[in-house]
Amino acid sequence: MPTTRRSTRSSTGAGKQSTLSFKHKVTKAIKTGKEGYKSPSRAKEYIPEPTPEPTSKKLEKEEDEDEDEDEQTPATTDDDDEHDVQVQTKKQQQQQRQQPAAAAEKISDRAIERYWSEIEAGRNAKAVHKKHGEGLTTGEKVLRYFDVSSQYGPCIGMKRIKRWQRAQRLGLNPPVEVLAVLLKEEAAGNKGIETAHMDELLNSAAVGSVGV
Amino acid sequence: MVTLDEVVDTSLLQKPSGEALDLLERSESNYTPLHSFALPKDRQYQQQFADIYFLRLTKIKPAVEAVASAAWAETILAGETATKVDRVLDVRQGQLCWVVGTVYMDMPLKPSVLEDVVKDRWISAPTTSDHYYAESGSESCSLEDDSGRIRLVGNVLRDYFLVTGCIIGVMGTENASGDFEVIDLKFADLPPQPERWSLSKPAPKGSARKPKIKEEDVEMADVSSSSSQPSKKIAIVSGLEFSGTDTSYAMELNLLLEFLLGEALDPAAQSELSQISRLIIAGNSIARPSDHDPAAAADKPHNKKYGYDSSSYNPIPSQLLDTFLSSLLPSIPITLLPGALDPANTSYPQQPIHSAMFPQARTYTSTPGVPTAPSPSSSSSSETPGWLDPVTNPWEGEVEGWRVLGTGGQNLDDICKYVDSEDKLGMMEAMCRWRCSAPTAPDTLWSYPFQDDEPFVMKECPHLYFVGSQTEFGTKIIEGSQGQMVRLVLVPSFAATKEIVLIDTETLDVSKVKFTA
Repeated sequence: MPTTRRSTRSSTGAGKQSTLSFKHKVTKAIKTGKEGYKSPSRAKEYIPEPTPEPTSKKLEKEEDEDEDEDEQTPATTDDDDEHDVQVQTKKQQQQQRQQPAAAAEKISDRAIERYWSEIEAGRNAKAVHKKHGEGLTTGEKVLRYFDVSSQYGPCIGMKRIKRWQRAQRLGLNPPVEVLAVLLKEEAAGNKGIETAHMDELLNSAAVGSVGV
Repeated sequence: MVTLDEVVDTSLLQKPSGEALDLLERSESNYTPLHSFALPKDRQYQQQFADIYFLRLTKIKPAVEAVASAAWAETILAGETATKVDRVLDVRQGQLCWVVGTVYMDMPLKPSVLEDVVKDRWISAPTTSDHYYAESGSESCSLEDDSGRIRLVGNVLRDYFLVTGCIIGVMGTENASGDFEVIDLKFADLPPQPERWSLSKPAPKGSARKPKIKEEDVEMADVSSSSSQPSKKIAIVSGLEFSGTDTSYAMELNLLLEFLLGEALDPAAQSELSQISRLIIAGNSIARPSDHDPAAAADKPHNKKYGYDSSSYNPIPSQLLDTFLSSLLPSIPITLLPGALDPANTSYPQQPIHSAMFPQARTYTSTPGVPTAPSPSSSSSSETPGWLDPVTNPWEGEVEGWRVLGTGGQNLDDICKYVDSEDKLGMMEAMCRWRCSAPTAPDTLWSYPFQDDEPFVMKECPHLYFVGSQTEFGTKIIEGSQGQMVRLVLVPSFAATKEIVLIDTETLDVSKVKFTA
């Protein structure tokens, strides 16, 4: 058989075999904003600003991701694109802050999943007790993480949505994904997520406690 | 027989001269109360108090961080630069760093709910001691935030007043025993101060009322070139303590009434009095009910009434207060703050005394408008306050353009229990520099569990800060780094000292008037 001839077409011409894309692999450590000690519940601060996907660049990335073979890789935003994206998205963020609820509606489930995987990627220790988290949806995991983030205040005695709004009012910049999850669950009529899980546990314990 | 015509025009008798007497009019009061401390009527008590500490720390922390980083950013000690540490538990041994957090004072004599729970079976009557500090060094000072608590040691701590709940920034390092050795301490310092007349507008100068003043009064008034009228005054009194049983100061109370109405003294003094545009009663208007004598107590076991024994109610004190107010009100507007002894709720912030307590003076209060509860976040109150304005304790408002913050005395008295010092003005100054008017709430000062907004944090610096029901009069001016100036006034309790305080509204000078029968 004659040897197959390689034509001089470029390898990325239309209809060629798909190339591996290295754009979304984890090649660099997550940026830490401060030197020194990274406290676990503050990991939020090191995650690049979460935004909805308003710009075309992000949309392109979405398509690339779809074509990717493996869709499970935690996607970190590229450094090259980030600067441009940040400049554009800062304006959107300002608008976003003014209508956080409106912006939260636009956040897709994909964005929430991506946010959660960024948090998990930031953890140094292995996830040993995965079996406890198996029954929980990502949304519930995001909410529980928000509960134990003590920089937004104590989670007990307050509805999650009110706690988010209080944190927003005080200028603490709570992640908008949490509001997205809360609004989605509220729209779905799920009353169980109103209060923090810890709150439910403690209240039930109080009812059953024996007075000395 | 002597006729009238012969006697008239001699030194004995004179006919009425027929000239019109000058009528003195009281200066108008320019008044805008702020409802910062009003609580909604349908408030819940289910929440915990931790939210108060979180809100306080979140609000004051940026200011402390700014002051601290300005002071310590370049500090090099033994070759090491001080670094900022995010959380209290992030300090490391041997590393020079600074951190911001809330102070917690652990004192053995402080009433502790945890100890009460431990001794649940048998709780002895709670011994109320006058002060929480002990002579020995058994108390400890720690710094706390949402991550944890660390003990503070160091001689620097003794130079400052520290009570539970104030937000400080400390620089130092952790020593071998796990305590944080403090080298330097910083507070948030005074908050930004609004300009005079930021909420209300001054009355136009040279208004319709002609100044009817005699010449002698010009030297008494402050000579401000812009106004032709002498400056107005605000009268502050506290601790009137109307009582059904204790009449030792009843004569002075009557003199006070005549003084404020202008019935006493001569016309020259009366024209000075006409400048008093407003009276602020800063708490404790009704005396503590005294113990019944033992003879009456012996009769009690005869009829055991379950629940509230209404025969023990003595209506005299509130009737006396009502009469006092209603005779004063046609002439002068009054702002009434409740105090520790008054019929208002016991926890801070005390809500206004209900108008039902004043059947006669009630007609001078503003008509209740829309029945919705006033919320602290509403931009403006739609109803203008009446001449009798029962307000909250603590209270914030604008009088004659000056921002005034006043309390009935519970916050200062509670701070005194923590600190081994008599310097009450120093403690008031410390409260302003901590930016918190009641730092010990909710630890030892009972308070409402705020969840959304904590009103004790001073967002704006007042021009005048007064505290009522104190043992003696005192005043001081403190200054801030941005040019703020605050006049601090300790208002003495009238029942004990028979003194009231007059404040000049142009210069914020303070004078004291003492009544002796």
